[in-house]
Amino acid sequence: MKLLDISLNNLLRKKGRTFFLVSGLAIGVGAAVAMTSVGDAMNREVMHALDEFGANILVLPASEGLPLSYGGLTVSAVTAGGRQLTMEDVARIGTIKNKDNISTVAPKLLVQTAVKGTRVLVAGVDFKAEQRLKKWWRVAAGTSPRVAGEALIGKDAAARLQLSPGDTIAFPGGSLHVAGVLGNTGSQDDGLLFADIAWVQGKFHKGNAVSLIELSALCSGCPIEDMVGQVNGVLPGARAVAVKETVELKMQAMHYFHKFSLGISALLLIVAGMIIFFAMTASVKERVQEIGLFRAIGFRTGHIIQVLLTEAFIVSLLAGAAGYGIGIISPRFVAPYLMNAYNLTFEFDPLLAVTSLAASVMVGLLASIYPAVRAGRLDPVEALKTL
Amino acid sequence: MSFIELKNVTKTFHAGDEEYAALRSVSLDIQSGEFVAIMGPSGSGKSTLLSLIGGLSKASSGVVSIDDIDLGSLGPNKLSDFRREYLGFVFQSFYLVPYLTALENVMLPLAIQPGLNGSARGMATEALSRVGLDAKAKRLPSQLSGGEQERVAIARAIVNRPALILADEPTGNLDSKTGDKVLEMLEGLHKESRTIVMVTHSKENAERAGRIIEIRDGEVVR
Repeated sequence: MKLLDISLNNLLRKKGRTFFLVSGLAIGVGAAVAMTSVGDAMNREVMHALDEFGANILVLPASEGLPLSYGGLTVSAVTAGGRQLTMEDVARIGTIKNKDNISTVAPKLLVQTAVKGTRVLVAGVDFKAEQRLKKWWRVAAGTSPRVAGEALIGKDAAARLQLSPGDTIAFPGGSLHVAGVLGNTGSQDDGLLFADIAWVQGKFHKGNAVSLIELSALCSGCPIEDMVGQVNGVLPGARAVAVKETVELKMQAMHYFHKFSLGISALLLIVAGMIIFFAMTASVKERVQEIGLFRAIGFRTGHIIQVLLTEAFIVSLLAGAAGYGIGIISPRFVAPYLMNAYNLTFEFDPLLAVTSLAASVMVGLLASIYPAVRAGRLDPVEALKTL
Repeated sequence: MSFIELKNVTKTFHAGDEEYAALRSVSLDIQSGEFVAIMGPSGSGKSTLLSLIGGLSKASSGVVSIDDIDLGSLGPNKLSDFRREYLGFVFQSFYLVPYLTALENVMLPLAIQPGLNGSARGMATEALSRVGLDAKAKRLPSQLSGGEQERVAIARAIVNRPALILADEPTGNLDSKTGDKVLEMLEGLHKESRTIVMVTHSKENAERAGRIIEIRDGEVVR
């Protein structure tokens, strides 16, 4: 018989206590693993949703003049110098290495014109792409344009030009039928008049010109700067830039989720460690005479500590394995009810498996060191009482 | 040279600010192979004396030496090694480990004995056989009677073939018939030239030993 046999026998023959210890730590580890895997799954979901929400790459002509200010509508810069962007460039974007990470390509042609004596900016857009990109768009009155020749008008523009769905807007080159009015967006879109890009190109004699291209890239899949470089590579006469604020917002969101799940996991492991600590302390108290006997028959302090820490190691290893199982299986059943997140996906993560085992063993051993050392230092006479 | 030698041994305990002497200037010699009974009423200091001889506690003053080893000079680990190599304990309350079988309980002192190379099981089986319990080797203590538990405790005390066996009221929890059998076993071990020191408050039991040391109020009176 070895010291390991003493530990194993104690665990095997006190099944209830062993089960309680393993369960206590396993629940803690399981909850921590569940938090991490739910956090990761939510992270992926949120990042995907954020990726599809608004543009994070802007492609402009490589202008030698002033930079384009889309919000401030410095439209002249679009065509001032450099090469004009075209619809071919839009197609070329679909050839970059990380093309699968591109969610939406939304080309725009911006043209100044006058309506009822007021200068307005007409934005030729691909309505499908635009609505995918701008998920916050709501048609407040009328409908979305269904055919070329129909327009969607920003709220401020509709008010200024006194236009409503069903009206017709006359231009020097033709006329547009107002299909709908956008709700307030709080952006430059409120003052714009949106029409089909092909219609604008034709009526304003712009050929297949494009003023700018907005891209929505799934940047959680690859670094955004890589994609910007790839776009610049296929469009030599253009200048692709990352919309830093958007990227940083996404990274920040990811960071917060990560920190949150880590914090909760750490808290749960501390609670599990405390359960082990109190259980081990109670176990040592319960086994005082046994430990006194061990000392009387020649066990050194180190032998006692070894017996108790071996038990803690076995318990925490089992708890780590059980906890990992609980942690990856339970979210599949619980998450849909708790978070209404039916499309969360949970993947096997070997790193998480190893980490949960290591964390469980570390917590189990750390929580047991103090009770084990105290047990090893017990005075055998006090422990046996009868001497 | 005596096998066990105590010179002016005093053992005091502290209870708050008060100091209480459990043993006062005790000197005695026990020769190798002797069977000695330490007798005295409750609280006389006989168990304290046994704990000093067994290296479980240290004297407040004086010298306790076994086989010429001054126990007071040994550190905690050396003292543990001394107990493992020299001593076999038999306790009144048996102190069997409840989750180990009779055989495993007997094997306990061998679990930390270096160099046994797999012979531990054979040694434990032989010890159990000597106390007539080899047929119940796989039983847990809870499945044994009090007398059987005491016999397992004796087997555990002799399994590493110690030179000295210390028995603390070995018949205290047993009926007279079972107690008699236990004493017969101790007598048998004495015949094998083992040194036995038995603490008892029973005069009848003490008379089975070769010599009686009587202790009263922490002093040897006979």
